[in-house]
Amino acid sequence: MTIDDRELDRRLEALTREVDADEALWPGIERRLRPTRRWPAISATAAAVFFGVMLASLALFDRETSDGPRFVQDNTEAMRSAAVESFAVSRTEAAGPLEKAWQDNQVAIEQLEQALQGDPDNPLLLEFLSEARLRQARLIQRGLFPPERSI
Amino acid sequence: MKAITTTLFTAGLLAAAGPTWAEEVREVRDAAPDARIEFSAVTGDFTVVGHDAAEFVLEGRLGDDVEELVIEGDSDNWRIELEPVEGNFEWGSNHRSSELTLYVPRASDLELETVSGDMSVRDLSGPALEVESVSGDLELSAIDSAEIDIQTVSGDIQADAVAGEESDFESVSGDLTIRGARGRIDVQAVSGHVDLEATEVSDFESETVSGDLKARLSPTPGATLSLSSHSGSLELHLAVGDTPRIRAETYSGRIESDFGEVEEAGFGPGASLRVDGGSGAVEVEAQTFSGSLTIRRAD
Repeated sequence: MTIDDRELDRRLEALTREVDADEALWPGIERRLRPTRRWPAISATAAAVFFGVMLASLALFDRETSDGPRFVQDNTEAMRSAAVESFAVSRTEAAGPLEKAWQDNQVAIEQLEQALQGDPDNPLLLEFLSEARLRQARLIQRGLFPPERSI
Repeated sequence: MKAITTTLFTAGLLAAAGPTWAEEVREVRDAAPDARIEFSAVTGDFTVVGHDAAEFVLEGRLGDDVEELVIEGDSDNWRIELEPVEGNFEWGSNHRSSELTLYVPRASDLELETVSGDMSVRDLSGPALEVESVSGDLELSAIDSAEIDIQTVSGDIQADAVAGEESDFESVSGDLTIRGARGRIDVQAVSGHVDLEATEVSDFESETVSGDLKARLSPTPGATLSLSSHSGSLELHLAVGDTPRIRAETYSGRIESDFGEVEEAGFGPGASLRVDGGSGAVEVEAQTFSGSLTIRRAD
């Protein structure tokens, strides 16, 4: 049995949302809020993650999670025909390691889901689970679009 | 826009011709001291070196897997590309891959990409350096750029004296060995192992899944250090005078620390550590699912 996104959202929603920050934290918070040059990269990453999440959601809607690596491969194959030569070379080179990473991360997700069955509101587990799912989306995105922008 | 295209034989022609053929090249173009230069290639051995001249020099040998060498742009913005031969290029014992050295103005804004080629990059101090590979290994040394972004999938990253105000290192399964980093540092790996040594660290974030991380950090006062791992171990050596503020937690792993008292979970596995540092203390947040977590005071 796995925890679907709605259930994960419900549990995250139920967590305490407000807490008084320790005074010692404020200098760090202020530093983090300062504008930096990272925004373009963050925006691009957010767009990529959104795209990845969208693909992952479509896949998870129809498939068992254990079919995930196959999903990566299927989509990779589907786009191959339209790709330029170096794009295909790059993606082929990346496919093996990325699929292995996807599988490793999938194992992590299953371990977290299993742990959550016994400790359903554990914030550490919920945080790890949400991060692991975002990581899956990033790995899918990297599998579809490895470094090749100008190649 | 100037453009030059050197057309090489195709793989099929090469095969028909019998003996291996590869072209020696030496291309020189004017380049502004802070020019943006993009270089991309599929495979080969590449060296990129900063120099003091206002020009770039590309010299060495083009492999017979290269269809075209494309150089286009102007002195402020150059694009150098080794376009690969179309189709499934078959490597045989007689084929030779590219071996090129690219000299660029030291303060160039650089973007370097390769698929399976190894790349060595050194002596640069431009505003930004971005290096990406899929399976190629990356070696970087003597880099002092404001923004540094190094990414591989399965290739290893070796960085010596690579310091930026903001440095991102990311791999999937490749190992990362980083020395002499500083400033804001972000490290991500899935199964790759991370070995990091950094000084004047103002902000550090790491995320791994099964890869182990060992970090020896000299943080600035008030620095924020955030580490997360699923099953990989985290080993943090901190060079600090004052006691840091620590929030560390593991679901089923173990915690060892030179600071504070580790609290074991009342029932079941897991442990946590809370240490309240003083005002301006370094802040450490570390979390694992099952990986062990060690926090030591550096000698």
